[in-house]
Amino acid sequence: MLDQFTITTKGGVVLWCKDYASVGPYPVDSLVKDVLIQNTRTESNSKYISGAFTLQWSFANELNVIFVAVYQKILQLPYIDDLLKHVKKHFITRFEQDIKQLVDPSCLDIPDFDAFDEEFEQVVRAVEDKERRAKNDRHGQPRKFEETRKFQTTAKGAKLELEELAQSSEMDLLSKGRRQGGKMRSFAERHGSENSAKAGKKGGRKVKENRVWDGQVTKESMQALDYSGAKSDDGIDSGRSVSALIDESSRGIRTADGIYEVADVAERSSTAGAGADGADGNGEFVLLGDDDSASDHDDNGMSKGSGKLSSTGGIGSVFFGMFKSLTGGRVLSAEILAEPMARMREHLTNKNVASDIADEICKTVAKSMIGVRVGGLQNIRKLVEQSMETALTRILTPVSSTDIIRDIENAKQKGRPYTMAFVGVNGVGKSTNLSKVCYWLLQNNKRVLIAACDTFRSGAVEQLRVHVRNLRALSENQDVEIFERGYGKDSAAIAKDAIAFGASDGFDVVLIDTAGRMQDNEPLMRALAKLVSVNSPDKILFVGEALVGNEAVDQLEKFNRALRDFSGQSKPRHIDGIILTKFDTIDDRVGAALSMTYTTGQPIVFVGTGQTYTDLRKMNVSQVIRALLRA
Amino acid sequence: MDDTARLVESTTSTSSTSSLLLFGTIFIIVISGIVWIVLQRQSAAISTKSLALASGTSVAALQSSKKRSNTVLITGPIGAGKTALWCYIRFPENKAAPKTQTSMAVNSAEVKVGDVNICLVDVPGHQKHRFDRDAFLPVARGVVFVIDSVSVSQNLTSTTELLYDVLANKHVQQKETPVLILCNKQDDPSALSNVRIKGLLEEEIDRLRASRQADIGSLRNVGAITGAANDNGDDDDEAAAEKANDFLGYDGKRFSFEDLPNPVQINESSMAMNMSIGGMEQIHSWIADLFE
Repeated sequence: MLDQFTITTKGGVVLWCKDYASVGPYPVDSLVKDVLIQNTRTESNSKYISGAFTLQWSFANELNVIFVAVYQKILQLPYIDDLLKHVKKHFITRFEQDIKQLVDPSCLDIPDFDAFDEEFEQVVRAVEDKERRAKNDRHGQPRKFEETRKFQTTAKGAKLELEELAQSSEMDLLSKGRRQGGKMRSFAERHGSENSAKAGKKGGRKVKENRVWDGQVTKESMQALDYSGAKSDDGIDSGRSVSALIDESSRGIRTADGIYEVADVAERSSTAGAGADGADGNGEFVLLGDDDSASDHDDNGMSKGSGKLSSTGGIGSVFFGMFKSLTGGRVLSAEILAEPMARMREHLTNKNVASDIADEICKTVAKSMIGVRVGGLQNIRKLVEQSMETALTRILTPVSSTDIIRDIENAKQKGRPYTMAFVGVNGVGKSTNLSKVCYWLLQNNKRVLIAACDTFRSGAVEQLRVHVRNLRALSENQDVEIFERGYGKDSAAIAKDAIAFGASDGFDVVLIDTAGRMQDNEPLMRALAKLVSVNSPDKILFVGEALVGNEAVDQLEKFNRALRDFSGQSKPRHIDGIILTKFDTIDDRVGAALSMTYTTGQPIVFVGTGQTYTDLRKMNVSQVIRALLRA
Repeated sequence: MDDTARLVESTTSTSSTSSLLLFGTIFIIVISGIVWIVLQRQSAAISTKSLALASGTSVAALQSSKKRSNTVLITGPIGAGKTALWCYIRFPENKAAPKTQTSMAVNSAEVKVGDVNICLVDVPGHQKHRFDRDAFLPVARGVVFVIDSVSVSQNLTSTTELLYDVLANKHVQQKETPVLILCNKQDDPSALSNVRIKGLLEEEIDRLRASRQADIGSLRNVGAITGAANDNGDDDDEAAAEKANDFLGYDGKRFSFEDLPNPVQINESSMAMNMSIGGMEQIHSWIADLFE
C-alpha cells in the first residue's frame, strides 16, 4: 500500500524514513523542488504526482518538520490524510525534545529516531483498521450523498463554521463563568448544568491563581483544564491533554529552568508509559486524540490545542492575558493570522496584484506560519510582513538563467541562429521592445535579423522598417536587417523562411515579431501555436504591460494553454520568459510583475521603462518587493 | 498609577515614614524595571529559539545570524551534498553517513571546530534560494562551494553561474573571502578529478565573464539616456555598484583561479563514504586557517 514514509526537517536532514518498496530516484526531492519551493500550482493542494507515485505531505511548522507519504499513483488511499495526522501527533509527542536538540549546540550527534519504527507500524495498522471498519459499515448499501467527496467540499465550510460557533459559545460561557466567578462565589450553585459548573470551577481556580505572578500560573491553569479532561476518557480530551503537555514542555525549556525540564521529561515518559499500558491492556493500539471533530478542524492539532488554551486564558482576565502576551509563547494559529493576512491580501490587491494570486500567496504564507511559536514582544503583523517578503522573493527569483547572450553563443557553436518570438495581446509594445532588445544585441556585436510576422495590422511592417533604419544609423556595425513578405501571408511560413535565411546568411539572432492577439480569439491563437510548433523558437517571450491587473493571469494562462492544446506535439512549448512593458507608468503598483511570474513560474527577462532604445532594464527583485510591501 | 500616587504623596510629606515610602517606591520601580528587562530578554530568547527552529519561514532568521562575523557558508548547486557536509561538521559524533534530501530552508548552527566557534550555515541549492545565499555572503568568513563531480559536466553552465555569482560578489571580492571548492561524490567511478573539474570551471568562467559583461546593465553606459521618469534610478546605481568588479581575472588573459585576489582551493571529498576520500581533516584545517 504505502511505499515510503519520510520525516525530515525543512533543512533537508532525514530524521526517520521507512521504505516499503524501492521508489527509485527520490520522489520526495521533486516534491520539495516543484511544490514546496517553486509553488507550482497543483491540481489539489495536498497531493502531488511524481512519476508513478502520489505524494501527500503535512507540516509541523513549530518544529520545522515535514511528513511525507509516498504511494503508487494507481492506488486510491483515502486514509493517508488521517495517517499523516496521526503519525505527526505520535512522532511529535514522543520525540519533541529530540527534535529540539537538533538546534542545541551541545548536541553532537543526530538523535536516534529508529525507535519510532514499531510505533509507526502500530499507527498504520490502527488507521488501516479504522478505514476497514468504516468501509465494512457502508458495505452493501450504495454510497450516500453525504459520504461523497462532493458533499465534503460543499458542507465542509458550513460544518467548520458551525463547530467554531459552538466552540466560541462554549468559550463565552467559560469566560462568563470566570468573570462571574470572580464577583460572586455562589455561581456554581446557581447554575445546575454540568458544563457551566465545570466552567465555574475553573473560573474560581483561575481567580485565585491570578495573584501569583509567575510562570506557574499557566502551568496550573493548564492542569486545571487537564483535570476536567482527564475525567472523561474520550478522544477530544486526550488530544487536549497532549497539546497541554507540549505547550508546557516548551515552556519548561524557555524558562531554562532545570527543574521544569526534568519534571517535563518525567511526565512525558509517564504518558508514553500510559499509552503503552493501554496498548497492552486492550490489545489494541490507541491513537492519540483520535476523534472526528478534531480531524475536520485545523490539520495542526497541536497548534489548535494550545491556541485554544491561550485564548481562554486571554479572555479569563485582561491582566493575565497581558502577562501572557508579554512572556510570549504564543503559537500562531489560523485565527490569529486571519486578520493580518486579510490586511496583507488587501494591500497586495491595492498594489495591482491579481486577486486570486494575492489570495493564493496569502494562503501559502499563512500555512507556513501556523504552529510557529513567537515571542511576546514580536508584532505579528511585522512577522507576516517578513514571511511575505521571503515568499515574494522566492516567487520573483528566476529559476532558469536569463543570460541570453550565453545562449546565443551556445546556438552559434551549433551553427544556427538563436530565435526569439515576441507574443502578446494588442498594443502592449511588442514591436517597440523588440527593437530595444535588438539595440542591446547590436551593442554586443551580434548580427540580428528581424522577421516581420505581423501580417495583419497595417503599418506593422513599415514600423519595423523605420526601427531598422534608426538602429542602423545608431550602431556602428549596422548588422541588422528586416525579413518581410508583406501582408496577409501565413506568419508561420514567413518565420520559417526568415530562420532559414538567417542560418544561410550567418545571422546570430532572429527576432520574430508576431501580431498582437486577444487571448480569447481562437483562430489567431491557433495561428500562433502553429508558428511556434513549426519554428520552435529558442525563447518565447510574452510581452505584457505592467498596467494590467486581474487580466494578467487570464492572458498568460490562455496563451500557455493555446501553445499546449493547439500544438499537436507530444512535448508542447510554453512561455519561456516575460517582458514587462510600460513599467515607468505605474509608480509603485508593480503587482503585475508578481501576478505574471506566479502564474507562469517564468522569469521577467526585461522591463521596458520608456520610449527610447536604451529604456530596457533587468528587473531588480528587491526593488519590486520593496514597492510591493511599501504602505 | 499606584506608584506615582505614592511618589507624589511621598514628595509632599516630610516625615520619616514618607522617606520610607519613598524608598519603597524607588525599590518597586527598580524591581519592575528589572522584571521588564528580564521579560524582554526572555522573549528575545524565545524568538531566537523559535526562529532557529523555524528558520525557513522568516527572514528574521537571517537577521539573527547576520551579525555573526564567524559565519562559514556552505553553498553550491542542488543535490551536491551541502546538507551532508553540514551534518558532518555539525554532528561530529555521528558515525553513519547522514541521510538527506532537497532542503527547503537554511540550516544554521553554532559549531566548535577545533578551538574556534563558527556559525555554520548551509543554504538550499535551489535557484529560488539564491537570495538566502546572498544574504549570508557579506558576513561569510569563508565559503565552501560543494560540487557534484559526477554530473558537473552536464550541468557545467548552471554550476559555473552559481560559482561566478559567489566569486564576483562585491563583498567576497572586497573581503577576499577564501573559497573552498569541494568536488564531492568521488566514490562514484564516473566522478571527475578535481584537476579536471578545475579546468572545466576555468574554461566556463572564461566564457561566462564575456556574456556577463554584455549584460543589459551595459546599456546604461552606451548612448544617451533620456531621463525616463522612473523611481528606480538609485537602485540601478546600486546594482551598478554591485556589479562594479563583475569581471573575474585579467582582461585578455585566460581565466585562472590563481588570478583571483581571494584564495581558492579545490579539493576532493566523498560524503557517502564517510569522508574517506579527502577526509574531514582537510575541511577542519581549512576552517581553522580562516580564523588565524
